[in-house]
Amino acid sequence: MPTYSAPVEDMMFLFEKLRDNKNYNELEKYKEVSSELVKDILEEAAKINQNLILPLAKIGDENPAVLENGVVRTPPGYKEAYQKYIEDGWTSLSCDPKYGGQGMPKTVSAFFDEMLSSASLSFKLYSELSIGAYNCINHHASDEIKNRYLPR
Amino acid sequence: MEGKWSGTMCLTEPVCGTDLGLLKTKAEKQSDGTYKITGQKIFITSGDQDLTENIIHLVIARATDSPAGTKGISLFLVPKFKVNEDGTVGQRNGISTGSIESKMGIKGSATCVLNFDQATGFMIGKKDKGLNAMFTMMNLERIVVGIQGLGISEIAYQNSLAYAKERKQGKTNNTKSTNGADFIIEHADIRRSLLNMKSIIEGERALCFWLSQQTEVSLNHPDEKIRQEASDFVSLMTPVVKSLFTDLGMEITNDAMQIHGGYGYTKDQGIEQLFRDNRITPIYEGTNSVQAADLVFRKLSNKNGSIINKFLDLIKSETDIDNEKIKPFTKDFAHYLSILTKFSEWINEKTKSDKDDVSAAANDYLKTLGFVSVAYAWIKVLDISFKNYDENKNFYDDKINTAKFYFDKVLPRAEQHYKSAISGSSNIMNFKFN
Repeated sequence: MPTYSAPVEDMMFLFEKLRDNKNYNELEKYKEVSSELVKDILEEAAKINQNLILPLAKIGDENPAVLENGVVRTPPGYKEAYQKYIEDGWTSLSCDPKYGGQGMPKTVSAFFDEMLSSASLSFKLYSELSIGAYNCINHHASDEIKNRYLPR
Repeated sequence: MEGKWSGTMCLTEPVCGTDLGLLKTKAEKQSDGTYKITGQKIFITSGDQDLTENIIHLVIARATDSPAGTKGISLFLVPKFKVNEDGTVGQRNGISTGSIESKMGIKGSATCVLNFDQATGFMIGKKDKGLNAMFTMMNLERIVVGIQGLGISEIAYQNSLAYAKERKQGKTNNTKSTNGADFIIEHADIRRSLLNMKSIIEGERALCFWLSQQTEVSLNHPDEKIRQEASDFVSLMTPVVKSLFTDLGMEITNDAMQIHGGYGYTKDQGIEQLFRDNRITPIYEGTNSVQAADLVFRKLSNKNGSIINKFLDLIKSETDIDNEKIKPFTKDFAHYLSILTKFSEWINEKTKSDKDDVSAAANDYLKTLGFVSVAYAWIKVLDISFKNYDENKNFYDDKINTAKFYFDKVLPRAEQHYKSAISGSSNIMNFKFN
């Protein structure tokens, strides 16, 4: 099985030093996002990807998702890992705090997307389009639909 | 958002892939304002699974009174289980899973055929404007697919590097070993391959960081004009990041297999799986061909071609740096920037006179723009590296030397693509495939 060590040092280098975008630096909502906070997030992200999610790549390759009696069963271990993954709040990293998200900038969620892609693309795809659906509903749907669906 | 429910995107149908105008799934309006959705959707990623208590499908369909083609497509939210007034999960909606695809890679992911039979749906956004709403989702998603290619490249590189440091084969030109072979990381060709990966990966990561900043500016900056300009840059770079990163992901996973030799081709090390898993990324979310066509025919001509010109101005001004050490890099960069500028003008001219030339050049243009954009990100990194050099010499030496490889050995591809493109299209279109 391939090994993986998340490139946190390179990511932190970008986050701390590649700060020449004046327009970005003017954004009020991210002024509180400190290097320490981002470093903590990336180190936790490294742990869950290296330890919990990486093994799911090989497991999923050897035990594909199956359809049994009209019900889809994901590969062994995916359910437990997904529970832990959502409990830790990784699905809502860049979502609006108004609906329960953590309000991180896309610079940080992109780092997380990269780590998750390295660890297991198959596992990643179970939550990836939720973010897309979130964005779509958030931009285009009525408030009634937003309030009913987005917090989930 | 808690992740208890998940989302999907349902576009593709058996005869309707890239060309969404062919869409058949229909939506009948009910007296309560909801719709009944009926039709078949295929290749739906995570179309069904046992991880979440509900699944929210975003489905495109044609209302019964809407026109044919792409102008009659609306977007609907269709939950797997209906949602009660109090927000709890209710009765099963009319959606069933027909089958799961058997695939080359990403086998752990359930790619489903979904049958909608009078399923209750709610219209999102305006009637017949479904594609606009869907593209909000798809545009951001396309960047994420580029990031998938980057992530798989990174793990492929890490394992190649580790393997090259422990595997001994053959002797190098300047071998010091008297008995047996050298580590393969001593061999020039292996070093070249590893540096090719590393310089592409770190450049892509820096470019992606820049793009993420632009995305945030486009969504959140108080000044409308600044938001719009950032949004234009994001729209220009979206097909580039999607295609370039996923295509180079194929190159990098392929090279990783090569470094591992027979052990890469067999299943033991898991390297061939990276190649198979990455293979979907140039295909889904709009094939890389479609991305290239989107770039040359839409992104370049939108707003009278002003977007690319603004981008060229931006990178020109930002790479004009007064520092002796960075000069060799910026001088080189200016050469490739002039090629990109010429190439953009060539596309602009040909769009008026010979569309086949533009179609035939689309992939080449995307690559030239991509390699120059990655070089632009490297210039930013170099600037920081020279300025902060004394803080962390090892780290910045690594950056400077990796950039040197990129400029000497990778960036020249930008020029090759230009030369290939300006040969035109008669060499392609006049050929008879007998």
